[in-house]
Amino acid sequence: MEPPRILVVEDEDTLRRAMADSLTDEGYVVGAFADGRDLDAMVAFSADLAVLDVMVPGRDGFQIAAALRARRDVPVLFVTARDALDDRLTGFGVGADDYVVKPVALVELAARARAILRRTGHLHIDTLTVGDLTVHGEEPRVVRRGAEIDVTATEWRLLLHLARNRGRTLSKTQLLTHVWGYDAFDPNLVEVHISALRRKLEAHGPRVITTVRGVGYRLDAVDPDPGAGDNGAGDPS
Amino acid sequence: MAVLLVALAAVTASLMSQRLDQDLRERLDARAELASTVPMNSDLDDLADRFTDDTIRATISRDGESVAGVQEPPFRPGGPGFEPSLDADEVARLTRTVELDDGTTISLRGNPFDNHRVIAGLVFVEFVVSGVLIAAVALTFRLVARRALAPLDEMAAAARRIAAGERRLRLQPSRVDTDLGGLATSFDTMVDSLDGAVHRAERSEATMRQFLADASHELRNPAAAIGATAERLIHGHHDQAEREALALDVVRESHRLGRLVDDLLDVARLEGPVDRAREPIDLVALLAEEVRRGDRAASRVGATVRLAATPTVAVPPVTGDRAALARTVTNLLDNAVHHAPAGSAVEVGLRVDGPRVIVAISNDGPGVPVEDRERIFDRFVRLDEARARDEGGSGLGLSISRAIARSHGGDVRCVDPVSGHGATFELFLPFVNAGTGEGREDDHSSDAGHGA
Repeated sequence: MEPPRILVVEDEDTLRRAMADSLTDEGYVVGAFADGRDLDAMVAFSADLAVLDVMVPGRDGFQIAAALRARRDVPVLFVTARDALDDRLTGFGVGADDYVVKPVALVELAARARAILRRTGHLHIDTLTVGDLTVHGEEPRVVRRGAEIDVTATEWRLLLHLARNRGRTLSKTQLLTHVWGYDAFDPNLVEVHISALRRKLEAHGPRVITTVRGVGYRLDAVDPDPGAGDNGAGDPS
Repeated sequence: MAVLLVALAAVTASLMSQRLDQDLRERLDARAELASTVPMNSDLDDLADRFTDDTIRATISRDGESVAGVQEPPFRPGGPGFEPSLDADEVARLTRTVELDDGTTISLRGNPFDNHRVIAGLVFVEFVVSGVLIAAVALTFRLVARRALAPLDEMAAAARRIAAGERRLRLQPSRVDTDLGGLATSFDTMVDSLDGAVHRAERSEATMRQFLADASHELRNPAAAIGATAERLIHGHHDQAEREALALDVVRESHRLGRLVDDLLDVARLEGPVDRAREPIDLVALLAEEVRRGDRAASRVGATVRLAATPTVAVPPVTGDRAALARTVTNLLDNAVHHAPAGSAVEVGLRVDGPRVIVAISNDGPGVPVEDRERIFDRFVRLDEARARDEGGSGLGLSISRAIARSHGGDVRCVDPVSGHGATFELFLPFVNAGTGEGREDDHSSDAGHGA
């Protein structure tokens, strides 16, 4: 399944780079532009979603949206400093699906993009399989060695993030901000939920979440074959 | 006036009384005279009748016995008789006695009560008339006063209406040469002045609101950049070098944000009453400093800044705030350097033209189209959006420069480029010759080395 393609138009270099990197990390293919001049190239990119700033040189975001949508029914998400009612109405008038005022947290941007793509059918969040563990991408379902494990939505989100980054150590801060956002400031939350997850997961198999002292946590694949006698803790795929 | 009328009444009554009294006595005397010439053996009753009338009574007696004439009943008011309130002196004064040769005595008695009645009547009439007069005068006075002061009521009513919101209302008196007319005119002038002040305040408020809206937009961009980059620092998978680069971006963006906030504060401060330092400034020295600084900065982008030539005539000092003027020159130089192509030079010229000094800054860049030359002094206007923003421009530099120049009695203008291409900005500042007042008579309109 081809990953969804996201067009980003933003003239602020720093911000554009950050947005592009963030969306790439989420698994999308990103085409980034600094102005509205090269319309042909933008159209040729064939985006499944356009994330547009309104105030860009060349064409403004509204014009770009209208031009893109004249060719294909591509959903549009405006990210802009302009927050006046007139601007919002114009935005929705040219067919925007969402209109967000800067500054916006990248995790929120990613969440909104995901919501739009899911709705338009471009997003198929696969079920992730890490060793003997299966984590569903769209609903809080976790299965280990054939057993359905009952997890809370928060625990599922935590596990999903670890699963997506399998074999890579994620810090408490990374986990905290990914699941709870930037205004939560209690790293204990992470500890507490990791403990709960471990209890539930380890009821069905060996330890699968490793604590890396001073760094964070890591999810590793465990060989589903219980007879292998190997912890499989070092499988980094 | 009442007092006067009372006095008048008293005086006339008194005079009249005396006159009547005198009149009575004269008549008594005359009659007495007549009585003394009466012939003998006249009929006594007839005689008595002859000498009696409404105000004089004659009685004739012989040997002490009354023989003719009305007996002496008391005088009664309104008719012959009645004398209870006359004292002996009064009676004596109004009595004449004539002795005839044959021993007959004719006694003539004057009756003053008629006179009294007349006086009383006079006084009564006088009082009535006075009363009427006083009432009439009082009423007239009231009416006249009310008429005269009606304009004051009008003024009060107008003032209330203006306060309630009818700002266009004025008295517009038809007569301006009277006291009230003059007052009404002054009133109108005052309302005009206040109305003007309110209008200016409202306009200034509207400008400020617009400015705050624009400013908050401007602040959002660097804020977004800082937040997003910091997020990437948390979630991104970067090596040390990449993380440091991102952190550096955060630092730069926050500096940009800081500069923007400084500019915004400057604009806000310039909007209000300016508390300016006032000292004489040597522009030649200031420019030399700025050119050195600007040249150092320009070398980073491969351009140079130079002073066109030292002025050949003495440039009088300009009075003002040195830091603010230096700021203005810095702004203009930075602008010129930003848009100067690599390898080119930004030229700074200084000349005196009449009562003012002109600093001209020129570059060989893309220039400013004629139709944009006023617009660029508006806040947050950038001709080349993306580039200016990236390079840290807030869009306020020119607006601030102009505001500073104007607060010194001068201005900043984008003029026709000296060399025909590129852009030239001129900063005008008036100077005051300490000894001779305005520098107009020292007309140094020589071009002190402004080169292209």
